[in-house]
Amino acid sequence: MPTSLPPLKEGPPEGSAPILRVGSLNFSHGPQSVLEDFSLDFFAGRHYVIAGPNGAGKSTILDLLSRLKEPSAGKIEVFGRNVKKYQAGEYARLLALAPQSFAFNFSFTVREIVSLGRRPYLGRWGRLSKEDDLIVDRAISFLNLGRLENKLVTALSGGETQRVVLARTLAQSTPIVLLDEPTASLDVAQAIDLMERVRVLASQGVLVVTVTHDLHLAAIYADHVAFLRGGRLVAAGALAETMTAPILREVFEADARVEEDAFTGGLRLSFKSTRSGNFGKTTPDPDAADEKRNGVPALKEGSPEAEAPNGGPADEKDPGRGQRGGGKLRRE
Amino acid sequence: MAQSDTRPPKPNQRPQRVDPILLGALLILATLFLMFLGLSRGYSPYSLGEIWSILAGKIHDLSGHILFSPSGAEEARITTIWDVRLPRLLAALFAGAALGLSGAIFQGILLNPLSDPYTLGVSSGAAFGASLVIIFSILLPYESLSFLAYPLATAVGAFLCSLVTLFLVMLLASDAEGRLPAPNLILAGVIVSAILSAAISFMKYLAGDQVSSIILWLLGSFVAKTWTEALIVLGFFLPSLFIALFKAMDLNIMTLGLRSAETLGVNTGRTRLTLLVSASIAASASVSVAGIIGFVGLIVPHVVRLLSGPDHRSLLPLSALGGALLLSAADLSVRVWLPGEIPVGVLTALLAGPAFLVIFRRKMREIARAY
Repeated sequence: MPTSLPPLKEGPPEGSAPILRVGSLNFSHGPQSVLEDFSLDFFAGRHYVIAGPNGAGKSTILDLLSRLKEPSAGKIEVFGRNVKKYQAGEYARLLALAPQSFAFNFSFTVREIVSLGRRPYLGRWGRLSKEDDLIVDRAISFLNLGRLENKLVTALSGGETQRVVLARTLAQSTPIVLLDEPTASLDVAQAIDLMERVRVLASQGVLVVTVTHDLHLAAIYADHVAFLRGGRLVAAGALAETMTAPILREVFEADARVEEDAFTGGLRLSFKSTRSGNFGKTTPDPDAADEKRNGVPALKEGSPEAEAPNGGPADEKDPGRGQRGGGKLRRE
Repeated sequence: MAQSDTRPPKPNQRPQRVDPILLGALLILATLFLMFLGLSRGYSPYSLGEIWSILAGKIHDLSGHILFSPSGAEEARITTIWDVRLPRLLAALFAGAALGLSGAIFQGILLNPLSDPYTLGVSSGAAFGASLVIIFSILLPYESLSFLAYPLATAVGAFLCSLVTLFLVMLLASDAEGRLPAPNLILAGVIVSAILSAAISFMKYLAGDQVSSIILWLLGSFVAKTWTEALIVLGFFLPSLFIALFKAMDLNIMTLGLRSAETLGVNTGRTRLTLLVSASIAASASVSVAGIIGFVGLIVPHVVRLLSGPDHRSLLPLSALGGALLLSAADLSVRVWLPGEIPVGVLTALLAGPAFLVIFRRKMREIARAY
């Protein structure tokens, strides 16, 4: 591993064309529109992070890119060709997906699972050539799985499983790699470790697209960010330009502060809920109904407790007010 | 660089697995030995030499050259081997192979270790069809329907009904996009089996005094199985085996989950459909000929997996071999060493269960050590 990481890259590489182009993508689940008019260009050698609140359509994008689902409108082009035109085996050599980690239920060894990633390059019986073995070796050492190589995957921890899934994805040797919540079951050190490897991967020319909830990691390791909300693309662009307080507020409905962080070399995010001090306030009268039902007196509208259950919004004198947890909880 | 695992490093031990080729050779040898036992033991014993000359003679006859005309007594000896014991032995071998193979396929596709060849309602469908034929032959003793009394009629009825059942289950299990998710398949199989069970109970009631003919069929046996039946099972088992071997690597990949398998280039929908149908048909053939014999399809793949690992390229053929060995050993025991003709299914459980227990416990200890 290099002691100094490759720098964050600003903007697309000089004079190159996007290897993945998404144009006006739409996807509906029955009558409900999950993704609307999503367009984005992706360049090689960059790490894109797609983020957004739950249900925003992030995983759907990965499913559409990997052809697991078909868009109801719009098109996707990889290396200048519509993805519908690729055969399954061809496409498997261009794009690999690491799904959210799951439990293995067959006792294959780690090496056997990672070797499955070579399937697009193997014959019917699946025999591995020397080159295939070398690539599997490299994938295993890149994810630091050497010590676990012969261990049964059913005996692995969550973090180890995640790394095996990733190694399998890398063994596919594709120019495009999609990661679905890759740090979900990892502890802090493992998550950072993984993100650094993603950075190295991108620096080797791979296009990496990550869907994640972890904005703090994204703020350090992404080159480009795309924010989705309600199925629509709110903002997309280089990290510094897109990961800004106003955009974060619009996407997540939370007050944010964005600062450059010398410690990590990326950005540091801090968040505050925009709903501070409003706990306990409700729309007219479900309290009355509750009172009748439970015999518990409900907070009356206009009473001091109802107005400010946490002591009122934060102000100069008491900046912590409004943040305190608890307060009077309304009986449900 | 952060150590991703804070536990102390352990030596890199390979999982203890039996080499599949070695295991295959052992199974083949055991099967050959069993065939010898099956032909030589019984009410009248035969020596190896006599068996050999009878078999050689018959095969010569088949090729058109009549070797010699046997006398009456000799004819009886030949018939016992060629027309009684050998077909019964082969039927058990082929049926066991079909059950072992399809059990392994089902467990691989449905990712469920408790799956067996009957998960998709195949056994209930076959039982229903067989019961239907038996009921008709009991209740409607018309001359024109006397063909129903033939054992082959029961087999045909069972087979057709099991195919219809399979089709129904797949219809029930397909989701909005036409795919066949594993939970849907399992549920649909359970539902259809339950309904058919009720129907079979009703037919048992209708049979009245003669209910034993249905019950005996259901319990499964290889008594009086002829060459026709043995070859029927073989005829459906062989294509199933070839298809399975062809797709064995894809089966490995599908254990990674549908998303991973699809992005690795496997057409999961088509592969699963093909494998499920071919496995079900092989199981159907086995059940239609021999009745419902449990445990073979469930346990043999587990034992093979515990011994040689989960790679389907070795698991599938070894499960077929193991199933053949288990079922013919069970049938042999029933015929030669046990009083009466105990249903074969009882014995398969008795033979398979404890063996499974021993190997399972040993493996559990091994896994615990590796943690």
